Amino acid sequence: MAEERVKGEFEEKAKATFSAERREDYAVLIIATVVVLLVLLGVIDKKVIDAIYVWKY
Amino acid sequence: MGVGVDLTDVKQWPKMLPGFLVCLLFAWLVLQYDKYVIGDLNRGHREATRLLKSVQEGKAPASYEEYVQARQESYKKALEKYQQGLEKKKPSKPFILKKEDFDYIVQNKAIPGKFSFGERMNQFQITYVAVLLLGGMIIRNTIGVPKILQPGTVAARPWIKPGIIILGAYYMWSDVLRVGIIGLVLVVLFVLGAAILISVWGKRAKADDGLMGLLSAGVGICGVSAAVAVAPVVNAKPRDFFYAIGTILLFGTLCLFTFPYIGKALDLHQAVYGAWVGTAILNTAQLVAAATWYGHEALLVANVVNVVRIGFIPTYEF
Repeated sequence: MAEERVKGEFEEKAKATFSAERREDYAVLIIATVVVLLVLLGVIDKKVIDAIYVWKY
Repeated sequence: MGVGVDLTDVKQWPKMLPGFLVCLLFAWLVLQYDKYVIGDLNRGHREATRLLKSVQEGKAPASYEEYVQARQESYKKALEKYQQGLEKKKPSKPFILKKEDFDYIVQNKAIPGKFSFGERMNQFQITYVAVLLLGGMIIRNTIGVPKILQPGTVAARPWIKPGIIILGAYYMWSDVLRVGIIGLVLVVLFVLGAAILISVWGKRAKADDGLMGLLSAGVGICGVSAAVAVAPVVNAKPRDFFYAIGTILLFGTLCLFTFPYIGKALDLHQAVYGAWVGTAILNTAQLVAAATWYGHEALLVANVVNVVRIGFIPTYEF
């Protein structure tokens, strides 16, 4: 009985984790798409990347 | 989901913000170190060595201005050769020493200490990957992460995924196909080999079938995701599941800290190292870290091989 309850809880937790991870994947896709668009539009270019580094030789 | 934080739940974002900002600041500071020490100072060491050699041979430029001019002219010539199609690789801009470093080398016939430091850090592979990983581990295991920052440390994790997607911009289709086909052969051998070895070993050790099924899928394919996907198929118990995940992540951590040094000791080419890491390290985050530690080309190859390996998940469902 106890083992079945543990298994049930484990399956519930696995389902919840899986569904949260899928939602996270959609968010990730949106972020990646926005970044790619910004690069294609020229908003993010080499100058922006260079500006990240302030400590240079 | 880490410490129980759902990253898509907007209500939880304020809780994640402090830790996320501290992670960003930490990452930014380490990137400054990497660019300056591993990038600039290491290149400076090569240039200083070249200049020192010409000083010792009595061929040093008479003045700093002459040195700068000679470097620029040499670059111009290399660029012209490239534009005429005589050279395949576009020359990179020359590293020109600052006047004080030029004077130091000429007068003392020695390399400035900062350049030697950069070269030594590069030799020991103390790149941003190592500093971030080791730094994080030291903080976590000494002073600890304050409670207010803990949810944010989990929020930093998913950024690796868009990072990999954006990395796609570096790939040429022809390279992907070439690496993909070699990767496919490697992965088939690895997946089958891992499954057979674990089954034989498991039978001898009289281990549970569920645990063996999870380990075969997890070790053979792509770690935690594969173990999760096949858990219902092999009727795994929760205990088996956690044993399998623990083994996979522990093995990955061990590989992460040893593979870059083994690769360096064996003088492996970046592509070869990338194929090795892409096949052997199962967790994507650990794989990306180990490959980035070695170099950009290694990262590109490792990602392609990893994608091929992940494509094998459905085979275990059967």
